[in-house]
Amino acid sequence: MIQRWIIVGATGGLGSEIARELAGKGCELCLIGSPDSRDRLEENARDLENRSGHPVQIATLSATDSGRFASVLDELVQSGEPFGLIWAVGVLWDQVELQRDPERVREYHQINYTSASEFLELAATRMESSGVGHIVALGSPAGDRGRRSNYLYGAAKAALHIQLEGMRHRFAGTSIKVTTIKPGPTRTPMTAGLKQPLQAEPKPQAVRIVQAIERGKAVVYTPPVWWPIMHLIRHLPRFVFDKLDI
Amino acid sequence: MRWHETKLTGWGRQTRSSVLLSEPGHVADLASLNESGNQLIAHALGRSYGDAALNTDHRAVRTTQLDRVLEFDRDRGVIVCEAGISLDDLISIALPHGWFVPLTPGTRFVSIGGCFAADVHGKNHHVAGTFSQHVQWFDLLNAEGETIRCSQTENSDLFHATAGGMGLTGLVIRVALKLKAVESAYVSVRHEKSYSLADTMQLLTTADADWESTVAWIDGLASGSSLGCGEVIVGRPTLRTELPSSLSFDPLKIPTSPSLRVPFDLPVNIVHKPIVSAFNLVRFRRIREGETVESIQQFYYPLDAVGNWNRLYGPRGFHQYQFVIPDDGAETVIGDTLNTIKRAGLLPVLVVLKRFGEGSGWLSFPMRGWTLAVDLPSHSRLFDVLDDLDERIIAAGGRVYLAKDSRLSRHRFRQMYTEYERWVTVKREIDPRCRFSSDLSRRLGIDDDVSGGGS
Repeated sequence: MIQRWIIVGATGGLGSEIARELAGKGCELCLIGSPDSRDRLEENARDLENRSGHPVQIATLSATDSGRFASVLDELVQSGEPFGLIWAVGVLWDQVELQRDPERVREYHQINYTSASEFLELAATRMESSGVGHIVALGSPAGDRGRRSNYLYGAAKAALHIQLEGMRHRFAGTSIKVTTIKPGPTRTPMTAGLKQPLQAEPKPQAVRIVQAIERGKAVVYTPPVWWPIMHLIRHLPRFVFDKLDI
Repeated sequence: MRWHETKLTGWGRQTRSSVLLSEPGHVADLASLNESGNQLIAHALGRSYGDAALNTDHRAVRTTQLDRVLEFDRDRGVIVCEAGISLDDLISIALPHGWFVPLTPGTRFVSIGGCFAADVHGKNHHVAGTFSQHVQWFDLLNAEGETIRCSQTENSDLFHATAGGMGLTGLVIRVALKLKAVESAYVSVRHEKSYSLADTMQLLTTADADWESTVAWIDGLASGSSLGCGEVIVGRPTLRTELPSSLSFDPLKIPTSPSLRVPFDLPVNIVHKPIVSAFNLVRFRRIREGETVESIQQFYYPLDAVGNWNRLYGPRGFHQYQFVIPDDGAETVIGDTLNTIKRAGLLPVLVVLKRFGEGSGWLSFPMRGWTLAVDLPSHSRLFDVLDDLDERIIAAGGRVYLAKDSRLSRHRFRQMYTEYERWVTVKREIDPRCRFSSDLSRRLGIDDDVSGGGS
């Protein structure tokens, strides 16, 4: 497995647990979080350093500030240095409120998809120059079929899924790996207070995610039960699907 | 802070309690805590058996995400952590560097904030005392939202009131803990059969002089002359040189152990007398006397091998009754207790006996003498029987453990905890409006004492 990992969204519920898991494996970490989370990033970095004994770098970046993406990336990795990237950024806003206020949809997609799209491409180009790398991004089972309860979120995650699939195709046969993680509902600040079925705990989720990264998997549902569930939902005929309240 | 409605239970799962819960991710999130109205309590991994961490129709702060390591001095063995970190996490960080927790309760899935609030003890109480005695300092977020550093010398009254204070003096947010040096992840253990209560107590007393950890498992169903028979288990950390060669290569590595879990809430209690009786019989027969080396999990945390074992007791849950009584006349009281439980038709599932060293005061549970813990499935007569037992414990000069309790009366609580007046004086000073309060504090009349100004 690659030793040096950049984690974007490192103060998030899953991002921070993944960082701990990687630190436990002795990886070198760079944490990226939003500018208003600087204090939290520093706290997390110090925690990881105390746990692993290795120094942890941090940087702040706003998902909507794409002008700085390239320079931040270049600050964190020297040219030609192999690294892995974990994209763990995401927000879940209320679907109905977004329907009432479509102007916010642009920002929503910017955070959940377009920023990832740009950043991953920038990272991929740098990995190409060293010939080695690993791109990991957190998608969602919500991106598998549009549902009335959260299709705007799902649309962003579906786009991310297709981009990662394309990248995997692009790098097939090389030493650059691309992994799509689709975590089911997880108990994180993002989902606090939501009534969700089968909510998983963040720590075991991170353990499974890092295991999938180590094994270089392509697409992973976590917990794995979401694969059969989504397989079924994807293939339900529309006249059945339309009657479901999901 | 964001709050949402949810249900919490104690480890005994006797009641489900509706609370407004908040799950802060950072200590900074707690800044707005004192705007959120009165009556809140910390809740982490939910290992208090009764109602200590429940707050029906009020607020609870889940501290499990406040689990960062702030400093770790690998040479001196002092670790500073946020209070929501679990012993499990702490051990996995510290043990590879040759440090272990100074003492541990029977599960490692407890937060250090909870360990401090209940001032927990371990099998080594006669040597190591209670958890708070190893805490160099802690930061307490009080009712006004101020952070107060407390130690044995700085704000010492608050230190002693918070140790064993069941979370009622404020929210413990950071703890500096002195760890214990070990040479391996193993414990040298001696198992011995005991054939009567007197025998068990004699073996435990003798072992205390030579062994760091001592405890006895008792067959709660044995009666007559074998009443109180069981197994005396004693241990001390294994030195590197004593390890079998297969383990000495990587002595501090925690071996992975198989773990099972009860995946869902069983619809009925499956812990019945024939099962317990068969289990006890097999267990007693299979005791292999003599010395052996066990991993820390096997020795300290045998029950952790089965996740959510409390679900086996079904929807009505179970109660753990744990008391301590002074040495004088202890054998009679313990024998009477075991007999009373059986005669009343209750089922003592798991019974554990240990001898304590000196107590550390205030609301801390331990005192010099003997402690007995009994797991009992819910039963219509259960609380009546325990009320009777309480009277005998009081007569003997003892007390029951608040971290395991959900039914002790106000009156008896005051008879048991003789330093309560001293404690409540500090409580009145630090939290006069009872911002920190729980099902336990209201049941025990603590809130009434504080707001009433007298007792």
